[in-house]
Amino acid sequence: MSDLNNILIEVSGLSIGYGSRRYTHPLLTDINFNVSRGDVVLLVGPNGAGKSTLLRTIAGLQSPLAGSVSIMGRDINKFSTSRLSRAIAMVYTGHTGGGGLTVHDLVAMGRHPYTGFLGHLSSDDHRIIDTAINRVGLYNLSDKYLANISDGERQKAMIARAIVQDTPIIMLDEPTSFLDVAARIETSLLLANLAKDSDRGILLSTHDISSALKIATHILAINPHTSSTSFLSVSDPSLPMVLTDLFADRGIIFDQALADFRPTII
Amino acid sequence: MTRHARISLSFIIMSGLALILAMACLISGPVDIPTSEVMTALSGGECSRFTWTNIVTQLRLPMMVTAAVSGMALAIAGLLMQTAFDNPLAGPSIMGVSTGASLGVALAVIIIGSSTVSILAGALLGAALIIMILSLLSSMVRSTIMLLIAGIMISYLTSSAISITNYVATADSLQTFVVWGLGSFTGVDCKILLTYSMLCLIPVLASCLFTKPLDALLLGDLYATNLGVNVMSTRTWLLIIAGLLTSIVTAWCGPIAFIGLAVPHIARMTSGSSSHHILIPLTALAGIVTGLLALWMSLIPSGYGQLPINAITPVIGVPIVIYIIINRRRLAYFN
Repeated sequence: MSDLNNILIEVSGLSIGYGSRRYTHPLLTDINFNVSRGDVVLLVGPNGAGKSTLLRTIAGLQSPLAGSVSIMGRDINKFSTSRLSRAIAMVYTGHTGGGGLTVHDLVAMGRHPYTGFLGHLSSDDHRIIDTAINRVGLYNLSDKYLANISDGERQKAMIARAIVQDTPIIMLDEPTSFLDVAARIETSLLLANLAKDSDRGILLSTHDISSALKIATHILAINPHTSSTSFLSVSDPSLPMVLTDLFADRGIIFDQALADFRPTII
Repeated sequence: MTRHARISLSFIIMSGLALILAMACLISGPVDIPTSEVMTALSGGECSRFTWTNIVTQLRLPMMVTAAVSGMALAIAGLLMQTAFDNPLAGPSIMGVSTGASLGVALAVIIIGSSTVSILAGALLGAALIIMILSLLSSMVRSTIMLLIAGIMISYLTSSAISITNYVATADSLQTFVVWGLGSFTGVDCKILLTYSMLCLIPVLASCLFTKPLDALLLGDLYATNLGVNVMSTRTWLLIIAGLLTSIVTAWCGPIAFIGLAVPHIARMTSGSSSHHILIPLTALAGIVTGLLALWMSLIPSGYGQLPINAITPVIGVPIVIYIIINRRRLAYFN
């Protein structure tokens, strides 16, 4: 059990979904879990189960229907957008705009939460930016336009931007789902490298279970059939059962030996 | 050539062009004045003919300055709109903001009568109305092309409203309005030149405070929010600044087309950068160049008087827009 100071995200009794004052449409209710420093929490579940909605709610982009989200001991509603940008860095799925920005331009934006009105970068900022670009292996592409590099390289640049943002929490919403196999593996390796930083907590949603399981410390499984979530350590013996329940209705089970999902009948 | 060198070179070339064109505008006109005499007048001396001094300092100089600051203002308005709407083909004239300002002016002239205050107020209200409609539409219509078409439709609707108001206008105010609608940099005289320049310059300087959020918006709303940008309020401020710039220029010079749409692309293509801490000053500079170029071209048929500015700006703007549409796959900032 981590001590209290190490808890980065504390989610308790959380209901998420859409709604107004009169009518609410909860996707998931009673979600409880913590992310501490050094944790890599893997968010798994079918499409439409509410993975993105959960991440958006934790990132403060959407209000909780009930319950609470605390970031480093402070309620999410008490965070301003700019304060939150120093607590959580996000990496989303899919193609972004800004093709005319260079890799360096993009990664440097990660310093926005710390720089003044005109965005002047100090020598420290430059060092942090260069280190991150090196770390994701894009040193030779630093001056290339985002439009002229591959999707995988673009996503690595996004991850470098998140590193540069220097936040205790990084959340990634299906960061590899639009990438080809090679880029997927490279990105997973990069995430594994990132997971070694013990002072950071990572919350990651992905369909790429087998590679993500290698770096995950905990699993948050979203079961849309029961509208419930289970939070457990990867060493928990009930993990295969919980994962199998997710897609059992579609004839897909979790195979512990493969560390991946497979059809019931091969 | 390194990126840095290319950016520096763009600034140097634009500054050089601005100086050359400024001079060209001062020495051309219906009255032939020798360059040496123009220089004398500019340095505060008396020309050999009294009227020449007057023409240079009272007519040509204010007109040149007006062209420069108007070009700058419209170009910055276009840049802000393009980033705020995430649409490289957005601009104050194409999306109907200038037309909205025109409608406001038409109504103001008919209802209150023609005065600086009524024209400015009309332009501000008209532009504000269109900006509000566009903001509302942009929250409902996600597709950039559809939003653009909606903007063009609004523009048509506004034009038809203008035609209807013209129908009920007196012959005198109709004449004023039609001439004004052709666009001209002659409407700002020496007395209000400083006020006009400041009114254009202040919103441009204000836009410099938004360099970081503007860059962040290039990555889309989600990433911008994650970088600490309050997307809603930032977008609102950007559109307010763009609206102010458009209506100030429209009030005095008429609805000038294409400068706002085309100039930000000149800045992007010459510098090869999408960062707004380069784009804002370079777009402002390229706007000055374009404004001066339009003025100078309008002075070319000197014997026959001056051409309307709106007869010139499409000649400059349309080839640029067609070029970027054809080359959109090769231009990095489109992808």
